[in-house]
Amino acid sequence: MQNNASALQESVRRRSRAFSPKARHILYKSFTFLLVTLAFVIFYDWLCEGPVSGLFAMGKISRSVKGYFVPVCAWVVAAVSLNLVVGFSGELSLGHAGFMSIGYSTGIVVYNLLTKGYGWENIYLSMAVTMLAAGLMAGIIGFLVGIPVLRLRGDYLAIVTLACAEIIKSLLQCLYVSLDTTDGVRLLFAFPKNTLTGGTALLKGPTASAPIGTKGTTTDLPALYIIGFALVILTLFVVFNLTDSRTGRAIKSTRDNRIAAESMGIPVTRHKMIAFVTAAVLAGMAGALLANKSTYQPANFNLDMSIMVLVYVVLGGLGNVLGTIFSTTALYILPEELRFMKDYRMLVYALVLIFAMVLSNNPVIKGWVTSIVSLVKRRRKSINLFAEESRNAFAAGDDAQGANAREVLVIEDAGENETAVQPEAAEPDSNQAELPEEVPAEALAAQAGGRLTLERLYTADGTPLDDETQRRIELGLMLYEAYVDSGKGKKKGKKKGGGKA
Amino acid sequence: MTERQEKQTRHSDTRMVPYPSKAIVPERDLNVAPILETHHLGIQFGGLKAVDDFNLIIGRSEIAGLIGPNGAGKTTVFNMLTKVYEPTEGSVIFDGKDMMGKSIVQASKLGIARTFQNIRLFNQMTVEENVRIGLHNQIKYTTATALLRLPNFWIKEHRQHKRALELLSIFGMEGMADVRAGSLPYGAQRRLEIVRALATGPKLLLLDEPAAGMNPHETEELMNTIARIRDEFNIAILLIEHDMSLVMGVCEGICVLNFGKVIAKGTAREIQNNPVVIEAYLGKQKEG
Repeated sequence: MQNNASALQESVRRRSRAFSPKARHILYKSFTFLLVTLAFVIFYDWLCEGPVSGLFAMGKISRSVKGYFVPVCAWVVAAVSLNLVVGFSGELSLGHAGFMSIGYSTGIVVYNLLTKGYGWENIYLSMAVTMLAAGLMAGIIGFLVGIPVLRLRGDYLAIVTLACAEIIKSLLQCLYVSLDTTDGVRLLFAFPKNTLTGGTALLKGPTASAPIGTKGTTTDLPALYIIGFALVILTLFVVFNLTDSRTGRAIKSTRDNRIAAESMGIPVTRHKMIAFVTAAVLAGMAGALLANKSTYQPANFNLDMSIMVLVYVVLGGLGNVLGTIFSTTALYILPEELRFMKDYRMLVYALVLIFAMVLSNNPVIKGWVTSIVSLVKRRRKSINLFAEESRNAFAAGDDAQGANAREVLVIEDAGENETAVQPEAAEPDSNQAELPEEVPAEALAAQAGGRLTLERLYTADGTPLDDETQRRIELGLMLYEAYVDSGKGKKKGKKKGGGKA
Repeated sequence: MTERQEKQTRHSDTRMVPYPSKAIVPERDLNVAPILETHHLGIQFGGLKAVDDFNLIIGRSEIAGLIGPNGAGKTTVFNMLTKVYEPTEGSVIFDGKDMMGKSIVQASKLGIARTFQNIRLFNQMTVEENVRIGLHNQIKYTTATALLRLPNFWIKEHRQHKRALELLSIFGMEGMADVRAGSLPYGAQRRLEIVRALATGPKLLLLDEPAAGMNPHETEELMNTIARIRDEFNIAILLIEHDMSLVMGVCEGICVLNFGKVIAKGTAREIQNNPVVIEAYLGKQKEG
């Protein structure tokens, strides 16, 4: 008896999750893209007072909300790119603001050169070239920084990245660039002191005065919305395609176990460089996008900013892109919305942050979440039993899912205490007795006149059930039929009648 | 020339060493060059000579065993063969190529694969991804192809997937391909390490205590699997093991280390009756 019980156990298939891990991952990625697209459509529409905003009666977009979208796009790109280094490559980088500031400065210079200098009209074209240039510059510096830095381990790498960011910031704060359009187009550079005379000042050391994304002197916000959205989509494409590939796996392996990765023939430094430089390029583009707001000056790209992006990443989850998008949006908008608190703003922000971190790592809370989720998805254990002809199919190598397996019986929700039996297949038996209510089980069995017989049942791996188990199942079926017929039983699923007499 | 380089050139001239004094190579491999030769291999950490004058020749399809008490220097030998450590004296000649100065990655590309004594799996990745890491240098495509998702990406990914499942089926593990490696039971983790090492397409497989923590039944299964791997993949295998049933059952040539020195080399029967070996493991018989 014991042996057959365990044989049955072996053929129990847990259908506890609807999708395979691979399918779930694809769903996750698609959902991320969809969410970002949806957010863009809604906000763009709201900005331009299009049909969707009318549909939801959102009214006119407020000045403050108008200004959220583009910076949030930029910070999402910065955070997702940092997640590539910290989450997927496993290296703590405290210098992300350095790459953003390079992108920022390059962005301002190139954009104004193109629009004011060469008179490019099309904002999309000029922004595209600006982004490319900003990303390229940041990538080059990222490469140069990475060569010595990525050979270090752990804490040392963190401190050196911090130092590199500070160096970059200090150098850029001494850079003076102005555009001279008198005799043809010229860029004038002065370093470290401002010795420039004439021309429009673009970068004035610690400050910058000519923002990007402008049509004439006003910021072309709808165009910037589109550009921000395009940049986020590009980032998602790059990060997802990189991490779900051979290179991505190699990068993740260097995070998990450096020595084992090397023993597998994976050059560790090279793969860390790939992650680092890609992150630098994307951060540069994000920095360029931030150059449209005068609230960001070269002096702002300091350690505080690096830490802020790191906080976005950690709260969103290392290696979790969708989570990073949520955390970045929430943590950017929160202090803006708390402005009414004036002096208490940062205090509340810090408290909310602590609360969020503690909650998301608390095992008790995690337990609650899991139990709520499991209520929604009922776990169903099912035991599948087959007829004799199926046994031959199995012997020939077909599996239970595929070919000509005739499932005679599926015992669903076969938990320890439940014995709900649900017969499938088989024709209705016309000899079914009409039974009154409140009849005890033995009486029912006796009244049913002899036993209900089923053909010999087999488990999924072809072993026949022994007589004892077979009889018990038949008896259980009989009782269930009687119970259901007496009107008291709740029918689970379709009832196609009892077994064959 | 330094003394070390002199020693090396001398021994590289005499590739095939007279048997049976220095090596046990199976009959079938006598006419082919051995896959691995070490000549006076040694490493010194400060004042401590962890391995001293280690000579070993392994035939092209031999299953060799490296045994000895704990702390004898067996894993250190492995580390020197895979270039995790650079030996301070002697030389390693793998597949006819001198391994001096090569890096770990180069050694892996030449065809040495290893498992680790304390399991070094990529815990956050799934079982299949762990095996695919082994396939990194076997089925390749560029990062650009991956970023743009060109057709070659899909072809190679599918090929990697199929090959990974093929390799996992050696141990019957295809069913758990999507399980996170860190959550596997201990025995399954050990087997996954072996599969991952095999995925790199090695010529020599170094197994560091593959039967640790296994019951006698599992050990016997492992023995058969190791022999099967050698036959199917046609590779040489070098085992470090403490489980004598596995070593005596499957190894063709056994080398015994104690305190970094080779104390005996031979077939299973020769080693079993060797008094020096017995003394190393069990200690000297008390007089009187």
